[in-house]
Amino acid sequence: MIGLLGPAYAASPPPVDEPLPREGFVLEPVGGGSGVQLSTSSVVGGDGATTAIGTRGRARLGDVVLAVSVPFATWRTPVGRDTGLGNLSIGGWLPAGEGGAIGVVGHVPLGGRAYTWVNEVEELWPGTGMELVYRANRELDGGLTLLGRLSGGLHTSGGYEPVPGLYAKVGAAGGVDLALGEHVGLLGEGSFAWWDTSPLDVAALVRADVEGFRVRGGILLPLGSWVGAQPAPVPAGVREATVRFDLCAQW
Amino acid sequence: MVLWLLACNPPPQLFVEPFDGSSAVAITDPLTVHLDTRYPEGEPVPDDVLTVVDLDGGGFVEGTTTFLDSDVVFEPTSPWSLGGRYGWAVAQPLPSTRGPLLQVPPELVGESSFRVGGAPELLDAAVEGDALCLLFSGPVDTLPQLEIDGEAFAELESEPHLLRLPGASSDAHGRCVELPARLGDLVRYTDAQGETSAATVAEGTLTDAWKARHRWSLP
Repeated sequence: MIGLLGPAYAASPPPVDEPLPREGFVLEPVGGGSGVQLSTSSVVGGDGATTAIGTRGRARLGDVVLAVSVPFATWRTPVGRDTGLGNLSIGGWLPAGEGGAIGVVGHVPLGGRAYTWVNEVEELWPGTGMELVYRANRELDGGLTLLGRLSGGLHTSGGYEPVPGLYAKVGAAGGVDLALGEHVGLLGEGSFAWWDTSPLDVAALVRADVEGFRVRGGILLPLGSWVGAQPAPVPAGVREATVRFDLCAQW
Repeated sequence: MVLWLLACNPPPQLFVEPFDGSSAVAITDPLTVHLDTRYPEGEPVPDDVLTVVDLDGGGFVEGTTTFLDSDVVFEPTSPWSLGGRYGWAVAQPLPSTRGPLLQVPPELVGESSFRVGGAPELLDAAVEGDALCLLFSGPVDTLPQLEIDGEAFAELESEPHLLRLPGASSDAHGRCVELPARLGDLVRYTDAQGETSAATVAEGTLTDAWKARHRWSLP
C-alpha cells in the first residue's frame, strides 16, 4: 500500500499558502509547515465518558519536522470523575523516498495518573515507549489523496491490567481523502494495530480549510472492541465510539 | 539455596482478614483482602469489590476502600461498634472497560461475618492424633466445660494451638485436649459465663479449618 503512495512531502519549507497536509485519526500530517492543533476526542456510549483534549505543535526546521503533543484527559472512575495529564509525545520526521516521511515518535509520562484511554493507550496511560513510523501520501486525480502508515515499536507501562508491562506494537493504517472543492474534504480511514485496546478501527472525518486554518469533525468506530477483541473481559457489543473535533492553524 | 530464596521471598498467599466468625476484631481494625495483583496505588477501587453490612442495625457500613501494596483494604468511616456484628462480602468487580482491571481470584469471592469483641465461641473441631482440637472465635485460656456427643467433661487441661498465616496481621489460638472424639461428633462448649456454642468434628486439621475461614489459597 505504501508503495502506491507518491510525492506529498515537500523537501523544502512550503510557502505559507500551501494547503494544510492531509491527516486522519491515526494518520499524522506529512509535509506542510509549522502549526498548532487543538483537539478534543470523546468516547461516547455506554463504555464511554473519557475525553482527551490534545494540544499539538509542529515546527518545520528545514527538512526536519518536530512534533510535540500533550493531552489532558477527563474520565470516569468507580468513584466519580477524574482528570489528569497524559503522556508527552515527541516525534521527529525526515523525508524518506517518494512522498514519504519516516519518523521516530516517543512518549514519556508527565506525572499524570490518567489510567484510561480514548483510542491509543499510549496517549494517556502512564508509560514510556518509542515507535518507528513510515507515513506517506499520494495525490491522485479527481481530488483524491491516498494516505498510508506503517509503524512498529516497543512500550512499557506499570504492568497494571489490562495494559502489559512491556509490549511490542505494530500497526498499519490507510485512508482516502476526497477534496470536495477548494475548502472542504472527506476522509475515510482504517487502521490495524497489535497490541492495542481495539485492534481494528475505522473512521470518517470531514474537514474545512480556510486561510491556513482547518477545522475537522468525525467519528471513529472501534470494530475490534465491538467484536470483543479487546483486553478487558467484557462481552462483544456496540457500546462506544469516539467523536473528534479539532482546529489546526499553519504558518 | 532454594530454602533461602523461599525464606526471603515467601510465595504470595491469598486470603481475607479477619477470618469468618472471628470475634477478636478491634474497633479500628480494617478488613483486608490479600491479593497477588498489580493495581495503581491510590487508584479508586470499584465499590462492588468489598461491601460491609451492619448485622445488628441493618444497612451498609460506610467506609473507604483502598488498594495498598497488593491488598484491598476497607476502613470504616466510624469505628466498629463494640460488641457489634458485621457481615462483609468480597466480589469480582464489574469489568472496567477503560481503566485498570482489579482481578479478584474466585477463591476469595464470598461472604464472612465477624464480631467486635464479646465472649469467644466455638467455631470448629478437628481430631489431630489423640487430641481433640478446637478453634474459637477469640482467645480462650481455659475450657470450663465440654460435651462430646452427649458426654460432659469439666475443667479440662488443654494445650494452646497457635495458628499463624504468613502475611496475616494477627494470629489465632485454638486449644487441644486429650479426649476421645470421632468425626461427626457434636462438641458443645460452655464458657465461664454459661454461654454455649457448638461445632461438629470435621475432617482435616484445625489449621485447615482456620484457613478455610480465611478463604486461604495460593495464587
